[in-house]
Amino acid sequence: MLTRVTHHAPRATHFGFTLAEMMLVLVLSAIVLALVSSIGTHLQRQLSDQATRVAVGEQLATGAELLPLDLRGVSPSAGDIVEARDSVLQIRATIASAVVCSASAGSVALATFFGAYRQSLAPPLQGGDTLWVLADEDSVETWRPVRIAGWRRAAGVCSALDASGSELVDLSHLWTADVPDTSAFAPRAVVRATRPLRFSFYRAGDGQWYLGLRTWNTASAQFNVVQPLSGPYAPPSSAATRFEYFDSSGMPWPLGDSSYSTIARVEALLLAAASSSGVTAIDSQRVVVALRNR
Amino acid sequence: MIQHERNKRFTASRQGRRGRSGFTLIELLVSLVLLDIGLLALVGLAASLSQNIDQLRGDARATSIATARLERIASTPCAATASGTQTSSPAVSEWFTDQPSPNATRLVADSVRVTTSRGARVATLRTRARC
Repeated sequence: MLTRVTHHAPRATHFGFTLAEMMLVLVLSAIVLALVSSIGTHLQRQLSDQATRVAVGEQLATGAELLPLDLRGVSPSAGDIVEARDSVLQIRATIASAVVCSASAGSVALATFFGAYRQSLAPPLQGGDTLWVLADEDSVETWRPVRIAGWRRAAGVCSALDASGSELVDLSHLWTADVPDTSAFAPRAVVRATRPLRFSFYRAGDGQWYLGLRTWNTASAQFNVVQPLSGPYAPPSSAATRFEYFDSSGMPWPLGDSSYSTIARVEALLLAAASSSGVTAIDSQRVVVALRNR
Repeated sequence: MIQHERNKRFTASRQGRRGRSGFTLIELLVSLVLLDIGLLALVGLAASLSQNIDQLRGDARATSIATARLERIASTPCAATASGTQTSSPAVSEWFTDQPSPNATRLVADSVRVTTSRGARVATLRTRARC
């Protein structure tokens, strides 16, 4: 190498590579290329495999997170379960809890309880929603249903509550509800507002099965069109894409029975599959929800 | 004068190189080695990424198993203090306890251990539930 730089005259004869150098370079680059391609395909397969697994996990996790939110507070003994089948679960969902401030002719003033972090989580009511008033009885819990005709929000004071009681309720968003009969609404009585909610496994237009939710339209007094919560899932079978019910002793609750008050636990069997670039991942999850207000 | 000398030397060396333009074998070898190092780093990155995803999935699995156990226990009435272990698959082992306490409440705890490609992941959940 050094001689080439100093030796000027026959420079032209040393131009470029020798054959041996050329061969060596070709062989080396062939090896490197082979390595690159094998690493590339391996990487791609591994990452797409992981992506498929993550996608399946997401299909399951969404259902597992959304289902318990409305189900947990359900009280079967109070008749909150309206229909329970392997593909359908219709409940009376509690949308807000409140306390009676005062009652006048035809309307009651209610203060809603704060949720976590002192945030008022109470959604607007609608005419047609049901208020359940806890009758003041020590021995048994009795909730009396009252259907409201109208509803509006008002700020003010809740005269029925003392200072410490007022800490628990949202005084800046008092409710005024129009009810036909105010006799049940004693000051300081506890009230909860409910609205029907219907979960179901259904086959969507794309031919796949989803966990869907139908919310209630109080104006038309019927359920809105089903909206998917999570999915897609495997077609329903005895081991997939269905609801199962259990009583408080842990025994399966017989499907077709009409005594919904004995249901203590709801389980949803989710089976999801996803495939991308030839890799298929299958995973299942059993979403278990204990009904807290038995 | 010094400036002129420097220019001259510069042009001379440029002319000297022009006859052998292109890479030398050493340069090529060095570049190949560098490329290999980069590729190896990429492989290492992908492997650690994959293991991290495995870990996360292990965590999620352990948490979901523990949640299901807590809900199952919470749906049954309080009895005497109970505890148990269960091995649902070679990779999953579980320990749980159900301890009734005063005021019609109970303390339920569950610890689930899921074995992944990078060691075991453990989720421990505790909750107080109504009897």
